[in-house]
Amino acid sequence: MELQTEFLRMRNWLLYSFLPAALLVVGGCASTGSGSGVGYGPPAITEGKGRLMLETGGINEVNFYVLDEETGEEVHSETPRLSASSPIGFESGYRSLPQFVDLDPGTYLVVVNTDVDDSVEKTVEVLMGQEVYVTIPIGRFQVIFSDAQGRSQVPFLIYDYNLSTMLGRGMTSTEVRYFILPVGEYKVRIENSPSGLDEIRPVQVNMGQTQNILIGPPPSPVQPGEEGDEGGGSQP
Amino acid sequence: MKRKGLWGGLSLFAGLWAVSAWAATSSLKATVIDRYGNQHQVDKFTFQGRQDLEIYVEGRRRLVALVKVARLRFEGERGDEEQRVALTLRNGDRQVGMMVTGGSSSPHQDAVGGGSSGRRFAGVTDLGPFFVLASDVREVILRHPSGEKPPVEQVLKATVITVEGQRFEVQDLRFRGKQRLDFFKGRNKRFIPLTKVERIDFEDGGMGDEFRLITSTYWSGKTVMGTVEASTVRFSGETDRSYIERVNQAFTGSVGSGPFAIGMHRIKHIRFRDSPDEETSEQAIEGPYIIAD
Repeated sequence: MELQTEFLRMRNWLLYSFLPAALLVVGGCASTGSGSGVGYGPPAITEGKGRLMLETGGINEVNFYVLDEETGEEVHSETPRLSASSPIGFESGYRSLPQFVDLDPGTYLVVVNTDVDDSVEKTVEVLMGQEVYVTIPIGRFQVIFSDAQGRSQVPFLIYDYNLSTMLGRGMTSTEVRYFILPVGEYKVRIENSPSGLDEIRPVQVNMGQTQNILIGPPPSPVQPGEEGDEGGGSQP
Repeated sequence: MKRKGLWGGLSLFAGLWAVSAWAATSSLKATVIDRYGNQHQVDKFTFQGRQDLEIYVEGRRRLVALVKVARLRFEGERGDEEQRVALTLRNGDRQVGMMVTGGSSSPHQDAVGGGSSGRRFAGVTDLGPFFVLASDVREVILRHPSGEKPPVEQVLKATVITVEGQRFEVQDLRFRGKQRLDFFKGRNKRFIPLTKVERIDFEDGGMGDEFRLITSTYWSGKTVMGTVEASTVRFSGETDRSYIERVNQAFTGSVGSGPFAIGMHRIKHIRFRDSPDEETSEQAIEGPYIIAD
């Protein structure tokens, strides 16, 4: 009899204490699992809003802001990139998702600032619960300047193709650094009076493409058996 | 039942895509006539994705919005790197300039990500995506919605007062060819539409200051503060012409005696006139073409 009572007490404890706790733990794990799925794509559109997505041809980040067409007020702004002439700018990371912003339904002016005076502007209508892709016709290029010590930082100027108007300034980097421009053709000029350097290079900026401009002596190829040599042997 | 749901979903998706694509892209329509005389009816017409054209009028770079253009005709040869182009604007004006069309140039050797000559007109025809090299085009006739009035640019009249106390009554005042003033709010680049501004005050600063603080007051009463570039330092690699343009021709326009230009470092105050047709009682000072310093 006593044994039967003990058995019943154990069964009740199992039913009312252990099982709910176990279900809670399993449920918690399940909800965490489903939550982690959010990381695979953009989050759901905020209720009552529409989504504006920037299609920038593979460029990770752009500086842009959004103006309400009706009021002229700025409703959103992002400035992740430093100025092109800043000596500390470089590509900082990789984004798997395009830049986007959730906005109230309406008509907006999207302004994307580039590394020259010309910005790119698009008028767009945002509809509730929908994604609107805005193609921004911009591209990028990189200027790699090398001297005897390797890659170095030098200022340069960005001109229009006819070299009649200076459109912007830039600073090369020892790291990877791209300069973003509206699609078109430009010229880049680097002048360094003490060293007698004066280079003018054409730049073709197309959407989704990059151009690397190498200025200075090309890096000498490593000969077999020379790996680890300090300074590296110069080519004849 | 399942198939019906699938078709419903697909049609809904297609509808949404069409609406969003319509909302996000250019609605310009054009008839493109190539050098062989073929006509192409193009929708969502752009020039390499952009809705403006870069042309050189009397050697000066200008961006002309396609919405202002009625037709353009290339008057050069196919292989020319730049061609003479005649633009007929929607307000009846005619402009002749030069436009870089690329000719038979090949993609730059350093281009990564696929080779193609950049200068092309693009859009959509009934058959699908369309593009044509600018060097292959003879004429473009833009088809704007009937009844839609062409955008009218207001001629801005303003009084400009310099730091030395000189005063100029200027017509058609522009900042670097545009009716907007680019400025910085901290690190962020923004613009002020000059058509909406009553006055702009420039803070006192030394001649060597790279930036100057401005306060602009809109006609609505709104006040915006920021900084503008006012550097007079010559950059390495800058040509004489671009240096003079940048430093001494920030604002341009015309006064009674001829063209007017002034550098950002010399302005103290700009006051715009409310009505563009309003006649001022003050006599415009006979100002020469100003090149400061």
